[in-house]
Amino acid sequence: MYLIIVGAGVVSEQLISLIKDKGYKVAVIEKQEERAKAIMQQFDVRVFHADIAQANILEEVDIKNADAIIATTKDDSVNLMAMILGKEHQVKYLITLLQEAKHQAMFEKLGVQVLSDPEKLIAQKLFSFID
Amino acid sequence: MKTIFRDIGLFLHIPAVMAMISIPVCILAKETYALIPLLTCAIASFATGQLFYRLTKSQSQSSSRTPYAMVTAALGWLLLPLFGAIPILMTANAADLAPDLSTTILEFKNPWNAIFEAFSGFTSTGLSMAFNYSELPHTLQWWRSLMEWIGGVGVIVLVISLLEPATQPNRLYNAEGRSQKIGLTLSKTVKHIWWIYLIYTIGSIFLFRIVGMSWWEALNHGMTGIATGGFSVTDNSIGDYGFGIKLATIIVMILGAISFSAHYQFLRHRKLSAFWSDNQHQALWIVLILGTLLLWLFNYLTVRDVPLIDILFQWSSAVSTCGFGTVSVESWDGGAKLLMTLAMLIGGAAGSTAGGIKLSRFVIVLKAIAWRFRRISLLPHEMMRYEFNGKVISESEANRRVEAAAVLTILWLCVIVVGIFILQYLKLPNSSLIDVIFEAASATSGVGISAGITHPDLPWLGKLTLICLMWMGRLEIISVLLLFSLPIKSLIERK
Repeated sequence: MYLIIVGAGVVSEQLISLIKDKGYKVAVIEKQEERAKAIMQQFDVRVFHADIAQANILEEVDIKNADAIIATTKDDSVNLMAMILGKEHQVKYLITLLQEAKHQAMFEKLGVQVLSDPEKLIAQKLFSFID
Repeated sequence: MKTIFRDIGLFLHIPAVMAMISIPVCILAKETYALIPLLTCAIASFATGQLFYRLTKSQSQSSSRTPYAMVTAALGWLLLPLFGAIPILMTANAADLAPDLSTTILEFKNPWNAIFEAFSGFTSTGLSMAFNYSELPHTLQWWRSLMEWIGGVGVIVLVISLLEPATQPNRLYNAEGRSQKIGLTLSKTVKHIWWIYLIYTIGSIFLFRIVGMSWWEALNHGMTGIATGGFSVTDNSIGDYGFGIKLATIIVMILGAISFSAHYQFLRHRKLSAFWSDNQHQALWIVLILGTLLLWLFNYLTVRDVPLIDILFQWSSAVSTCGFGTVSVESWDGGAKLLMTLAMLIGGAAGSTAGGIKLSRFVIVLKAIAWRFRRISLLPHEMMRYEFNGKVISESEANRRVEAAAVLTILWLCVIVVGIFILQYLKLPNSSLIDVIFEAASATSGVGISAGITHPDLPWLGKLTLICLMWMGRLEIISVLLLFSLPIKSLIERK
């Protein structure tokens, strides 16, 4: 399996860990140079320093052979772009984090699997320990 | 400037101490003719050392600048062998020399030969002007081994372990070609180095005794083996011994080529994996195994019947830059000699007693080639990953290392080429170009295997060339070039 991750934050690090354990291939696209470097220091993965909106970046990452594209950035517009481009290249799994839960419906119309408002989910989980 | 002389003054105490230690050997061997030479050496170096030290002590700022430390190292390593030649020269010229001694000692009446031997000793090279090592006076045999033993671990290391903490030792330490730290402070590092060195020396001596050498042979070969020097007290070096001793010697030579920090990991933390966990030691094993196979193949193809143990021995001797020999390589064909030359050029691990360009630099240069090709095939936005010793390093760090390794490699080769030009110009009768290349590489890398050029009949220019190669090689070239640049710089500044 070949997965493409957009955005190299804390969530991505955990994701990459899981993916490498499973033995799948992964490529990371990140706009900020320091974060890209940090990921490279930690993991033996291919890292691409680019903006997802750049032309042909996805061809470079070999999206034709990708099974999944996972967007983890803090900017929903970037996440949206990633999902649309992924859909255009007929990637099987379209997955994204979503900051603003109100947009969830729009994403799901595209066929994207969404995890929205992550902080709220964490808070709910924490709170559920009490019962 | 004054600090340079002050530090050299300190260094010059070393031959004095060495000579004093050697006096019991001289007396026990009943070689009274060697007493005066040893005492002369002791007094001369002590006096000169004290002179330099006292004269400059009042102006003692610490030598905190790297160039001065390098110049100190270069000068120190130039002067020390000169004093170290005194016992050799004077013993050979002694009026009451034992009449039954063979003529081999008489070669040392020539000052060039004595100085050559001293340089070969302190730089732990092992090229010798003597023919029959077993027929040298015991005092001189001991002196040669002692020079190599001290030279192998490094004069500066020795001095640092004795210096007061006030002096700035870091730069001197680096100037001698050492960069690894074991332990938090430099003085701790030096203490560890000494302990490891002593343990392994004593271990080697006992190992040799167990496999069959006499005590005297084991003592000397243990000292020169672990120092990867190669001076021997038996004719034909290790050639007259049996399989067991050859194998033991191979082990000692390889141990000498492994870095002190790896030994530290092994001895202190019982981690055997330290011997293959970093890139340069991995390279050591690969070079040893592949090279032996290649060398065996070369000899097989030229229908030269050399036993595998001797092939392994000669190759290990070249890679570890030790210089012990079991067979003469003079009759080997050009291809085999060239292969051995490559081994000698590469040398042992950085941070060991071995010479050569060192495996760490060799590894970096190879990685640089791999990285170059990887960068070509990289996609436009893809980032390049630089991995070294299992860790990822930044691009600037990688570039820095590559630059340092490549520059030194080029300098090394330049120096050897100049040496080759000079030796070739001498038109030595029985030596072809490959022999000249071999000898030049052997001298610069401090190996000591000879293709026949090292000989008392070598013209003085040839001896001087080899001496310079040994000196420059021990200091990894740059210190010596800095020393040479000083007079030029001061001339330029006068204008």
